[in-house]
Amino acid sequence: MSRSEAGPGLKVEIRGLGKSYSGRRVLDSLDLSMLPGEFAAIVGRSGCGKSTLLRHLVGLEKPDCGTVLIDGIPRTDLRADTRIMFQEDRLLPWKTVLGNVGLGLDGDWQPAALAALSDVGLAERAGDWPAVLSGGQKQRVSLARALAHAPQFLLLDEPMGALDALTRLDMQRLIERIWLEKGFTALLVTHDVGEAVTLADRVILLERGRVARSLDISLPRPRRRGSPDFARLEAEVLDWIMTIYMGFI
Amino acid sequence: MERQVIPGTFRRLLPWLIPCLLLLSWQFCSTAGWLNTRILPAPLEVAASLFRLAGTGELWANIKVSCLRAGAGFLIGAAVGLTLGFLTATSGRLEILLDSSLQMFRTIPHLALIPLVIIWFGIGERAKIFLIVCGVMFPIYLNTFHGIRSVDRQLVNMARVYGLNRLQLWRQVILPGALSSILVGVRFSLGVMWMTLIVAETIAASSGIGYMATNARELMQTDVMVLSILLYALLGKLADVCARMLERRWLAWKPEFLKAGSC
Repeated sequence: MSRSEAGPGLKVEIRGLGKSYSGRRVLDSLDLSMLPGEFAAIVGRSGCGKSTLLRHLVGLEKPDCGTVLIDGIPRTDLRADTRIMFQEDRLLPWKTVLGNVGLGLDGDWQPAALAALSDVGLAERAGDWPAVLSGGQKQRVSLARALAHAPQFLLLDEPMGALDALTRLDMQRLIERIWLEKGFTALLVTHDVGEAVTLADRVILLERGRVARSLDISLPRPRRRGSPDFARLEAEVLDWIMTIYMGFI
Repeated sequence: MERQVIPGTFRRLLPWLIPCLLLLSWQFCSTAGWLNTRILPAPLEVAASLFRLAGTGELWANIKVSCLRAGAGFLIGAAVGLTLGFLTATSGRLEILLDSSLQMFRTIPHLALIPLVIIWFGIGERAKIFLIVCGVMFPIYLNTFHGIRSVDRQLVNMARVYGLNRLQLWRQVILPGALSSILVGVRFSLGVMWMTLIVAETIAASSGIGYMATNARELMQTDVMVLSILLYALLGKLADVCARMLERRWLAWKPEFLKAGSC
């Protein structure tokens, strides 16, 4: 509804977000803001609350306290302007590639689905079953499925976690290219610090349900992993994680 | 292309080798007088009686009656099983209410009901259809329930996040996800269907293939008896082929069918 004034990306404001499951505090008065069109990456140990945070941003969870404001509106239910990409491709095996991309689209959905499929370079596989695709191709289809809804806020829940190293690099390049083209706000959850530094404007360390550290990455794009600046930033983020990790043993 | 045709026909013909050899040696033994034709008639005699009965129209009438019974019983039983499976799989309360009762009924061998069923319905059509319904509904109920319950939760969650409403979720995710299991139930219950029909028609009927066999026993027409048995085998096979065709059509996305479809 506020698409025109906010541009293609949504503004995200999380204020004092708290959530507990059976007495265990998963999110603890978490504050986080994202500018429209920003690409942020969240790193953190397993169980730091990353997935729970994403579930709140999608609108699948009701917070115990605090609010999630998306373009100034509290997020209380599922909305078409926000899409999520999962670690698993979660393609429906009984739908063709095109049918999967068009999932949840109404009316004359095929052109939109086909356009999204072309964006990820798989238009010629539209009629295939998912079972004949490789892991990387499946994940590209699931990216196209998210893009078909023209999301203004894209959540990426470790979408490259299960891919091999080379496919992962391809996928990173693809996501960066599409993000630059479309200008949506993007939030990536990852275990891979190099991936976070490659893609994000800002790397956020989540620990015990709150933002522990945050680091702006202002390297020019496309970023080269070998460069000294890149290595310095990557080492810094790794240092944070290791410090916290050491604190646990 | 040439090279593929030969192994293809070969593969298609090979399964028939043993039945053909059996048939030939059976005919040979009968002709040589080693088999008493009053106990086991020769294949040619069976074939002769096939043509005789087909000629009088008696055969077709009986086949038609048997198929109609089987079909009606199957359709009703499948509808009941599917409905119950859908209800119990989707509602926790209905599962608690219905499942343990259904599991109890399931353990009763439905053929044990025959004496009671004859008293209730006589030996008319209703008795036989009722028995088939009893036999068919449970495999379909169990497999429908299991199929719906084992649909991947991750896919269901994904579909909800992608904005599918309840109806779309059913049509696009839950039903296709459960279909494979439901079809296993269908194939199993087709077997039960024929078995029940055979027993019911043999014990109490005035028409149908089973009646034809029982009647032939009174007259010591072993050829007609063998013919009836072969007819049952043929019809059973036919039903299974149909179920397999449905599987190929509806489960074309499964890797095992993808391979078969490509060659």
